Amino acid sequence: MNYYGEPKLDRLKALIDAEVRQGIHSLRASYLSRKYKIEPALAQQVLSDLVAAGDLATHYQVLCSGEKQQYDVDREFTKRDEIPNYELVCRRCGDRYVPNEENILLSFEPTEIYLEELAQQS
Amino acid sequence: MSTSDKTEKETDALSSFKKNHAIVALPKLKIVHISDLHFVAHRLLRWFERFNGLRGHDQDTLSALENAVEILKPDLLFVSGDQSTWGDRTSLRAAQTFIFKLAERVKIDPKHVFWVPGNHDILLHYYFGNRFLRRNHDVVFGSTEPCRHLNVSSYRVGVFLFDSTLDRRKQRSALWPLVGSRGKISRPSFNEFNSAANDVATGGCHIKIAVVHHHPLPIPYKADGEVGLELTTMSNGGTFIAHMQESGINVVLHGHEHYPYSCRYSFDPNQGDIIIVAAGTAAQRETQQNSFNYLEIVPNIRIVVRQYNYTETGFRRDSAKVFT
Repeated sequence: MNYYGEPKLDRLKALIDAEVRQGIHSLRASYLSRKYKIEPALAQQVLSDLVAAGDLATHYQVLCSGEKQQYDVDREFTKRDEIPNYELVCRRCGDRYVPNEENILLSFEPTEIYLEELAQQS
Repeated sequence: MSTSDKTEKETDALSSFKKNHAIVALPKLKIVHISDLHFVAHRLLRWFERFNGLRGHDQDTLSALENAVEILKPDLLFVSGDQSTWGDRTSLRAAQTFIFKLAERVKIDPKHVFWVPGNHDILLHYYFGNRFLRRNHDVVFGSTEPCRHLNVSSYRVGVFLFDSTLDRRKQRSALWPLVGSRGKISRPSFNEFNSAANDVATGGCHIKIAVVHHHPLPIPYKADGEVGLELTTMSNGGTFIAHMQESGINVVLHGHEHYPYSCRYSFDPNQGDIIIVAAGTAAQRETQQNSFNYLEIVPNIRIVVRQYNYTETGFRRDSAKVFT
């Protein structure tokens, strides 16, 4: 499937296809950036495009950002709107914190339709 | 947490995606673009369905279309011409009822539904009409309004509608009966558009969309043995597209040839590119492939065009193109 018509982006899309085929079902921009030595912003761009195209779904992981921040994932959401904008009590350490964008991590899961398409291609 | 872990966290954080204008953090404008419904609701006219080019709608496909659009929950609905095959009032009213029922089912504000006439919508008038009769399409759907401004998904949207059908009296072509499928944007239409484009409200729009029935550019890879493009193309399509780009239009939606495709076009490299999106026929029976388009737009960042094709089980999503 030709998403972009730009060789660089198409190549990255092909690499993501390969990752998903291998069973990596929680993709992150930092992982792709490190593994394939590409700019994190470019990885973000492509992952976001695949969300827009309906191939990937976003998962929002909220890190506890209390005073004793341990960078633990406290809660996970599938929609941005579901993330509370009020004070939470961390289920791990008991600290109180308000979720903020610096401490919300994004991971990307392939959708059923995307997996079906990959299965048909192979 | 080590330094490299911190860097990874910074890369994956929502704030970083926002900083890089990645789509996940920004609202999307969702558009369903259907075209060439080809309603034939008049009993007598159904007799002609045996002739290629005069076939009518397929009820099963229309039901599948309703189901598919309901799932997509679009903000805007565009119907880019040929709502009927003959342009008779019975069929046009049936098409109008279908479009409004679809909008109601999907919970789209009627002001967010747009249509333009196609060459089939004026077919009877083109060959048999006279200057004292209003066109059936105008009677049923109303005259084509040149411009509408909306606020959708926190964006200001400008929509410009063009009537590209021909007026036989003004056409003055020696090839008259043969070129009824061709289209042209008239000088008065350009004047109306220019007036709307200069409006202050248009200047503040995040995205500008133009809708026309005929294809301004020739369709690539059109199969042999079909009606020649020389008889169906918009005769001033190049001028139209160039002027749209000069006027800051971002997307042009059209139908007509029943060949879905999309492309990026640039007449002036100093201006933003224009994205041209063609829809196939959404519901005409016994056609090679029924389809419609679904667009997700983040203004100034990207446009995703996704095609949905009809299969036995309903409309299924097919290929996508991302224009960044």
